[in-house]
Amino acid sequence: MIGILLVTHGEIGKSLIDCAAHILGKSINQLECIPIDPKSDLQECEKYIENEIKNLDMGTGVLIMTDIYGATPSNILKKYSSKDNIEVITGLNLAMVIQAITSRDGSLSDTTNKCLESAEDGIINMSKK
Amino acid sequence: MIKKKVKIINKLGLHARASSKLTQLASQFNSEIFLIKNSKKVSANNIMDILMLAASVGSEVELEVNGPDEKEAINKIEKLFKNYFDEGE
Repeated sequence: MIGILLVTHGEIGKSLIDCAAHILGKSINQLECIPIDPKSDLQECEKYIENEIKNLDMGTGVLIMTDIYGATPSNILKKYSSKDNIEVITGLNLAMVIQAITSRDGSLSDTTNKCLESAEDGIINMSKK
Repeated sequence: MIKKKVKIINKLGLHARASSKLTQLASQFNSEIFLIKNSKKVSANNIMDILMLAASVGSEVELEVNGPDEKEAINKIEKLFKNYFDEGE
């Protein structure tokens, strides 16, 4: 099972986990979030991230998702993005979280690709449909 | 292979919780199970694909089931639709 870590501005990650658990009707294992806010000590944040990666990696890797590319959470994560057992993706939304939870029994790259596809598929201008 | 059309009668349609229940039920069978709406065919095992059908109350979807337990699967899935996805309305 792929581990999933959400690193987000404020409580976005926690809210997404709560919503996903409500939709899927169960609590979710191997899924954690780390909030980053203006008062966060970035070195402390890195320690939390490294601890969570260790806790979440069951040997098949960890998918880390964050919200805005270029913002502090994604900048912190840059150093982890080139590691073999980690994929880091941005643009986090609820569809991606649900997709990750429900398709994480395969490889890390498969899970990552499915999340990216769900994110793209789910952005629709309903007024022009 | 069995195909059957089912009408969505629960108030909220094939929304997130209902889609989740459908995937949980579909995953219990060995058969391949698909939903078809407006020529779009998706696996009943993938919640996000089901949601992309945007199937609201009053709309109709076709179930397509193919495999060793297809009869039991289609009956139980049809029952879930007819039972308003256990939502009461």
